Amino acid sequence: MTVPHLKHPEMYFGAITFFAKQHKEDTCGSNGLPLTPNSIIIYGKAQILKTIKSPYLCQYLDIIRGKHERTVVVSQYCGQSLSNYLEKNTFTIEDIKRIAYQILTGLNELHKKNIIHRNLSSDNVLLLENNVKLFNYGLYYMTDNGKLVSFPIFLTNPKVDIWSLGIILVELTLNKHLWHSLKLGQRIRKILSLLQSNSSIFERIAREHNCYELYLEIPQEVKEIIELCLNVYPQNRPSCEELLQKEVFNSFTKPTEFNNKKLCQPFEIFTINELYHWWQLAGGDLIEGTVLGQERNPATLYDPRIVVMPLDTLYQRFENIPLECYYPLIQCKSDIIALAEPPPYDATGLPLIIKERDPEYQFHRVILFRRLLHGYPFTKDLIIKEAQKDIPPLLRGEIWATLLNIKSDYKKQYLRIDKFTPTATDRQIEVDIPRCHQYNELLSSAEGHKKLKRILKAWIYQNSQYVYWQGLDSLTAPFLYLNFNCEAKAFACLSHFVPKFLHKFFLKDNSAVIEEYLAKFSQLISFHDPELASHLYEINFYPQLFAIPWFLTLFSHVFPLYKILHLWDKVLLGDSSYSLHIGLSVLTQLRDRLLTSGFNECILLFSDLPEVDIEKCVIFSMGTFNSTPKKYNPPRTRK
Amino acid sequence: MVAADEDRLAAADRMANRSGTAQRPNGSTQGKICQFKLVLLGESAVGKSSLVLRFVKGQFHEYQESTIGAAFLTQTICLDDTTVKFEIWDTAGQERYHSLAPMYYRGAQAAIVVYDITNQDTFGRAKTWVKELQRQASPNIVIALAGNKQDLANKRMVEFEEAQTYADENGLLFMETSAKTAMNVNEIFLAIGK
Repeated sequence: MTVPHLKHPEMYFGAITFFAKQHKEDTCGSNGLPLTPNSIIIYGKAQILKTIKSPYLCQYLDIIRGKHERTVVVSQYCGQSLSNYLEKNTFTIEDIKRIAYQILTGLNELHKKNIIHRNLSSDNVLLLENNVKLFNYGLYYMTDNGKLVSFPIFLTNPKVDIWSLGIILVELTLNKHLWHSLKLGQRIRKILSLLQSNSSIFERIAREHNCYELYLEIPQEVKEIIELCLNVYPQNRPSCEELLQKEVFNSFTKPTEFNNKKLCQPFEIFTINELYHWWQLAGGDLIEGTVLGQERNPATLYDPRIVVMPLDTLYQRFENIPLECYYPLIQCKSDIIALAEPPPYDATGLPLIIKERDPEYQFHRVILFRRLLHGYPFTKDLIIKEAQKDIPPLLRGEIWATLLNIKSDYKKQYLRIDKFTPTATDRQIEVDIPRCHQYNELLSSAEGHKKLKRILKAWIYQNSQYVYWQGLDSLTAPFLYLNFNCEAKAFACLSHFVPKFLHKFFLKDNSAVIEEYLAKFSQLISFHDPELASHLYEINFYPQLFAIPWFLTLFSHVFPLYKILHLWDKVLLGDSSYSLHIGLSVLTQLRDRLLTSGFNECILLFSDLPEVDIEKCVIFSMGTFNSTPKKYNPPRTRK
Repeated sequence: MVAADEDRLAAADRMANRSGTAQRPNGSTQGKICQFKLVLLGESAVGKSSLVLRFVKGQFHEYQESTIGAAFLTQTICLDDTTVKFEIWDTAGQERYHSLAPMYYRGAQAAIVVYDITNQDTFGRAKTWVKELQRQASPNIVIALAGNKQDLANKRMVEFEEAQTYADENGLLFMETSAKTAMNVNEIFLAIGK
């Protein structure tokens, strides 16, 4: 009944696919490590495209790596391509001017970010009602100007897009697919023949397509734009900025500028990102059963087809969600109104891992948290209360930032910090980064390495009282992973996290604080499990021998990323003593084996930590955390 | 290279003889089980953990995580008719973790000091470790020097002869090793065990 709510005309997406260049087998980089697969470099590089939001650009949603270096790129895809309209409807001159203006505005935004579309044609300019959106504009950028793929993309400059715009405008004004019946080679010959042309290229094309009369009718101001774009010398073509200044676009400039300068962004109940997330949870699969899943084939290293994703499964799944659920009440003092609310979606008792994959549950959580985040900092208490239940993975980065009290000026702060001057610590950072959570695609990508290095250097610069201890890299990894497109936020999270949970751990001489933690840890074991404590004592199995990385990195050097995220969801709600309780719960999970083992077996168990059930660990540690007398609890925390 | 290999073998023989007279904790005799505590030291990212992993599990991980504090592993092998059980402490390489090291080398019967043949600084650091062991560790400790990452010999910055000379002068067992290709990994552990 509320499906129409989901069926926003802009909320559709499609995918394209290509293959990255494969390395020759057994090639190594200069450090002796195998070369990073090109698909991973692309994966890291393409992430930033997801942050580009503009009414004239399709939003990037996801990059997925398939087998054999396949890359699938998912992006918004709404409306129909301009080429679909050609030779059917005729656009009025006013329409064409507006389309030209919108394409230029979109291109200008890209060029300002040093992104060249390179691929612009009437096939990937989408028209929805009166609004144009450019599609597939990131291919050139994400493949590092074509270096990471083996199909031909040539090095170029932004003026190439201006030429393409000219061609699109010719197609629109003449209402024709240009050189439609010719083969590729013939088309290339046609275009090369333009090089020798002394007369107007536009006029020549019009004559070739028997449209000379139509050409004569086109207003001079539009002709002028097209002529400017179709200059064979790139350096003589105008830039987007210059074209946008032309009088012909005057009627569009003013109102749009007004609209763009709203003081605060309007609140959206949900975004296309979230719709895509729910669609995936509801079973949406990009790779199976479509062209996206075909084997590597030299003829289709780049596949020009666009696969538009059907959303029916999601609509069916969400069919019965009442309208009220899109507008949850968060601060309702009236019982009468509260009683009229639909009953909450019941997921109690389900394991966390199931809840995170349940599309309806994630729908409710995301809708609620988006609202709460929108009201931050005034909703801080409510965020904490809800976070105690669970944190929706899609919004984890933002929620963590609020739990850590990140202030709104974090970007400015980060910008000011020196991240580049060489220091004595560089060598250590450089050898640690290629070993830090490298099973993860983001963290193993070239972009990931660069970002992690900058964040670590910034942190050292900013905290002259502290030093880099190995392990700080692991500690930073979860924040970078969650805020990959916002280094400043990752840095701000780290900067707030360390004083709150690891006070003094990164002092040059941290032996006092480590000894204190280890002593408290021994006490905690004795308090909760005297039998285990005395066994460990008898076999000389001291925490010094195994627990230093546990507390120094708050388990981020011990567990894989997906476990750290669940663990830290709770850490952030506790205080600096909580890590001791996690340690206790790890020992408890291994209790039977520890009790029956001698020193060697015990220590081996921790050198190669067996599977630890994180959900059990979290529940157990929350229990002891809440039930332990204070004197066993916190080592000093900074107020 | 052949001459160098002969040197190496000669050195190994000398070391083997020396370690034959080294004190053994359980007073092991033939047919007995002998426990053997060994510690790995050296600058970070030279391949200490990788050497241990290769020796104990026969594996090699390209992206072997850094070691914080220390890791402990064991391996049991048969040498002639003696079962030797290696108890290996693999330590953190970063200089800052230095203060923890004595906890691991105290009472160790052997140490492998590792450097990276493609990095001269790590060789300097290895020499510092050797000095420290000679001063502070138990007097009978067997010290081996491992020039790791031999698979990257085309990027070599530390000459084999230079290290060999240093090892000879200090009475160290010396081999160039590669945890990646497994070259000399078992050999260096076994030579110590003899």
